Formats: sequence, structure tokens, C-alpha cells
Amino acid sequence: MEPIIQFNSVTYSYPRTDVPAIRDISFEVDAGEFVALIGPTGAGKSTLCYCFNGSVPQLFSGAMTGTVEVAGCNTYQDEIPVLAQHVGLVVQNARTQLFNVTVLQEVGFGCENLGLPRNVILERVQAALAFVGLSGHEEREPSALSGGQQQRVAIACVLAMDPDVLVLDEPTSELDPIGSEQVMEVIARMNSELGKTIFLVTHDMEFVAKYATRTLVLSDHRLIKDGPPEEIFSNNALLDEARIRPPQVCEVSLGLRKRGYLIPHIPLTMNEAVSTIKGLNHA
Amino acid sequence: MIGISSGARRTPLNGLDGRTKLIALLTIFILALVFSSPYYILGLLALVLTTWAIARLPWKLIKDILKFFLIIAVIILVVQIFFYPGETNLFRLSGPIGFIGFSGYITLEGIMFGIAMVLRLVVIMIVAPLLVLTTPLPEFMLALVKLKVPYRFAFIMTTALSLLPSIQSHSAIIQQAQLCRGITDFETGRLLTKLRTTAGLLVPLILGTFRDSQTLDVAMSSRAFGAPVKRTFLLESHFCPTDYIILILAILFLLGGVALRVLGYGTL
Ligand SMILES: Nc1ncnc2c1ncn2[C@@H]1O[C@H](COP(=O)(O)OP(=O)(O)O)[C@@H](O)[C@H]1O
Ligand SMILES: [Mg+2]
Repeated sequence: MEPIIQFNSVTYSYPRTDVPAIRDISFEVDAGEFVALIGPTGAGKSTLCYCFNGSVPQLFSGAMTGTVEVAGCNTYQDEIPVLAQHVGLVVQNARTQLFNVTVLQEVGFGCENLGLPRNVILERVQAALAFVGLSGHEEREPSALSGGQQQRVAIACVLAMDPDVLVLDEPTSELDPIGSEQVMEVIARMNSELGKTIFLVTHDMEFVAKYATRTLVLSDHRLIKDGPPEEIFSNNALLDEARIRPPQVCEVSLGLRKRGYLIPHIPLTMNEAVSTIKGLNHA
Repeated sequence: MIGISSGARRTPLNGLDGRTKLIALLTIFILALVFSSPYYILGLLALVLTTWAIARLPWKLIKDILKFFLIIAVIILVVQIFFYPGETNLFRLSGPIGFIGFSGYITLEGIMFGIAMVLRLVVIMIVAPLLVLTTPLPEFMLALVKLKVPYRFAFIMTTALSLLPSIQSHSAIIQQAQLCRGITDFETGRLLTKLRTTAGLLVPLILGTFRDSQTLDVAMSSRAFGAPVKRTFLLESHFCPTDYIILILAILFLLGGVALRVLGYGTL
């Protein structure tokens, strides 16, 4: 089967800048994967997200080389509204993404633009709101919702357009722990229940460890690593280079390993860590 | 600041179709420009104020608007009094001042025309809130689209309107930030320092608004804004009997006004 996302040596510089914001990026993602992109601020994560639906280079001019193909579309040739039906982008600051007066209109906006029949739009809006747990909020003003609710509305907005791929740029960076948990749970369910391919940018390594099947590390505008989370969280040199702090369970295990304990696999979750450490005591 | 809010207040004018309000507003605009007699414009003003009362909008807003335009009004009045080429001399102020074209006399026509101009400004200034404050932005946008304004243009216009309050709050935040850094001479201080501080306020404001509008652009396109298909509108609007009555009145007023003007009425 063809990969659903293909980046081929993508380099892009914003207009009036000398340094590329992303440099020679190549990777492929299969349908149904849950990919996390991590890396320090300014590494180029948001820029990479803009490449998925053609915002780079169609909206931000500037110089791009290489090709991006998503769900059989080419981001040079196909227009953003066409791409938007295959890949949903939730931008970094969800608040700028909400510009309608009611949640209903907000979530319906994309389908209205696609010219879908009225009753289809209403059905899709209801389904999307139910999925993110916001049924009954149709007439609320998006700007009056809590941060976590706004983020879930933003997700519902792209979900209603029924894309195959969802790209989410730091959806929990401004949320409290409960709000974050709810948003991440929605994202995980889009992957597990709806079979959507997820490309998630986040600084929350606990979530990466818990949900991602694969992790890309972007540092200094380059892709420096592509592998399963446990591989990344057990690689001290890599963690330092990309200024990443692994989940605390990993830190504990890495610390124990440093002190000479034999830990073959760095655990990612609390349960795994507990059994690993219990195993140590018995040894 | 006039509260252009997305959730406009509930008033008796809310029930009207956006198109009706837009057309009525344009009619009053045009009539205010067609007539140059203060009596006719006073008539228009009375009409606008009556509507204001019916809409139950706060009178304080009118006061604020007038306060804001007081200086401009005075300038207009003075300029017209001096330079309008009137015939009925009231009294002599000075000898003729040739190079500015002042005859030296204050004329009746000059005063009347000055008053007419100021009234015209007042009508135009206070008729706009009647639409803005009684029409939620989506309804306003829908009205524009139904009046055949291209959707893209209508959307950008209404979104710009809706961003006004956020620009305002931005500027308040930036001003606070500047204050925290010890920049305190917004209110006091000499002209040059004032200019410098204002520039320091504007640069982050403009940059911030620009970045905002760029992400807004991305966010909108990502939701298929501008797709080359016939757009669906969830919001619906229909004319009710009152709409028809107001539209007919507006058309009669407009035709009547233009006819009067052609016949030579309504001018000085
Ligand atoms: N609109 C823009 N114009 C010019 N440079 C930009 C723009 N947006 C981001 N950059 C630059 O591109 C680089 C990558 O930024 P970004 O993709 O936002 O990183 P991240 O999301 O990882 O924090 C940074 O050096 C940033 O300053
Ligand atoms: Mg970013």
C-alpha cells in the first residue's frame, strides 16, 4: 500500500530569510499511524505542519524545494481547499482558528465552504461535536469557552470535513492537566476508533510515550531521528541534542541504568516502570 | 469605542433582515449627501433619532460620538462660514482677504451651509451604529452576500470588523507591558517623546496583528475557505412584512428625495 504521507527532501525558507526553517526533510507515514513530532521551540515544527495542506508554499510564499504528497494530492498543484478535504490542520494557537459567532457555525464553516447540502452539514456538525464531547454547546460563543473546549472545537472543525489525516500543532500547550488529558483522549480516539492518521506536534512527552507509535525528532530545522518512542527516550545523547526531557518514568529508569542497574528496556508507562523496578528488587 | 460585538445586543431592530437595514442605511446616507439644506438634513436627523429610540440603543453613545467629532465639526463650521460664497451679508468682519478668497463678510448662506455640513456629518456618524449594533456579524455578512457582494470580500470585511475589539485589547496589553518597562509618558510628556512612545506601541501592535492575520489565513484556508464551489449557508434569512414595509418606504424616500432635489428643493 502507498504511504499516505510522503515528504521528499523538503527544504523551505520563509520570504526575506536566509536560513531555511526546515531543511531536507524526508519521511513517509502509512495510513492509520500515530506519529508524534517533538523538538525544541524554533526547530521548525509549525512550518512542517504548514507543508501538509499546502499552506507552505501556497500561502506563505518563500522558497521550497522537494515534494510533499498527502493522500494522493500534491501540495504544489492541488489547491488548499482540495487538500483540506484530505488533511485537517489544527494550527498552533487554536484561538486564532475560531472566528465564528457560535460553535455550530464554527464547526459547520468548512462544510459550508465545500458546498455540502445543509442537512449533511448539520449531521456532520452534530457527529463531530459528539465525538469531542461538546454536544449541546452549539449555540455557545467559541471565545467564551474554556481553553480545552476551544481546542476540542478546533478539532471538531476539521473532523467535520472528514479528512484522512489530522495534523495537530501543540494542541495542549496552553491547557491545564485536565484539559490536556481530554484533548489527548479525543486525539487518541480519532486514531483508534475512526482510523485517522495522526501527526501530532507536542512538548508533552508523557502523551508521546502513551499514545504515539512512532516519533520524529526535529532539531535545528532538521529531522534527526525517526523511531519508536522507547528508542528515543532511552537515547541520552539524542535527548540532550534536541533538548528533550523524557517522561519521568524514563528519567528514573535512565538514572538507575546509569548507576549500574541492568535495565534492558526503558519503560514508557507507570505500569511498565513498576514491574521493571520490582524485577530489580528481586534480582 | 463603539462596541462592534459579534453578539450584538437584542433590540427591536434585530428581527429585521440585514438587507433591509443595509438598504435603509444607504438610503439615509445618500439623502444626507443629496440635500444641502439644514432643514431637510434636520428632518433626516429626526428620523434617525426616532429609530435610535425605537431600537432602544443607549443615548450615551450618541454623546460619545459627538464628543469625538466636536473638533472636526467646529473646523467644518468655521471653514464654511468663511469660505462659502454667500450673498446675504450679515456683518463685516474685516476687509477682503484676497489670497484666501474671503470677502470680509459673514453671510447667512455661509452659516446655513456650515450647519448643514455639520448636521450631515452627525447623521452619517450616528446612523452607522444603528446597523452595527443591531446586526450580528454573520447576519451582516449574509446580507452582503445576498446583495451580491462576493463572499470572500464580505467575509474579510466582517472579520476585520470582528477583529477590532481584539486589536483594541492588544493595544491595551501592549500599553500595560510598556508601562511595566517604565514607559510612562503616554499621557504626559513632550510631543517628541509622545510620538516615540506611540511608535513603540504601534510596532508590536502591527506585527502582532499581521502574524494573527497570517495564521487566520492559514486557519481559514485549512477549512476550505475559497473553495471553487457554490457555498452553503447554514444561517437563513427571510423578509418579514415589516421588512417589506421598510424597504418600500426607503425606496419612496430615496425617489422622493432625488425628485425634490431635481425640482430644486432641499438646497440652499
Ligand atoms: N512567518 C514567518 N516568517 C519568517 N520566519 C518565520 C515565520 N514563522 C516562523 N519563522 C521562523 O522559522 C523557524 C521555525 O519556526 P516554527 O516552525 O514556528 O518553529 P516551532 O514551531 O518548532 O517552534 C524559526 O526560526 C522562526 O523564527
Ligand atoms: Mg510552533
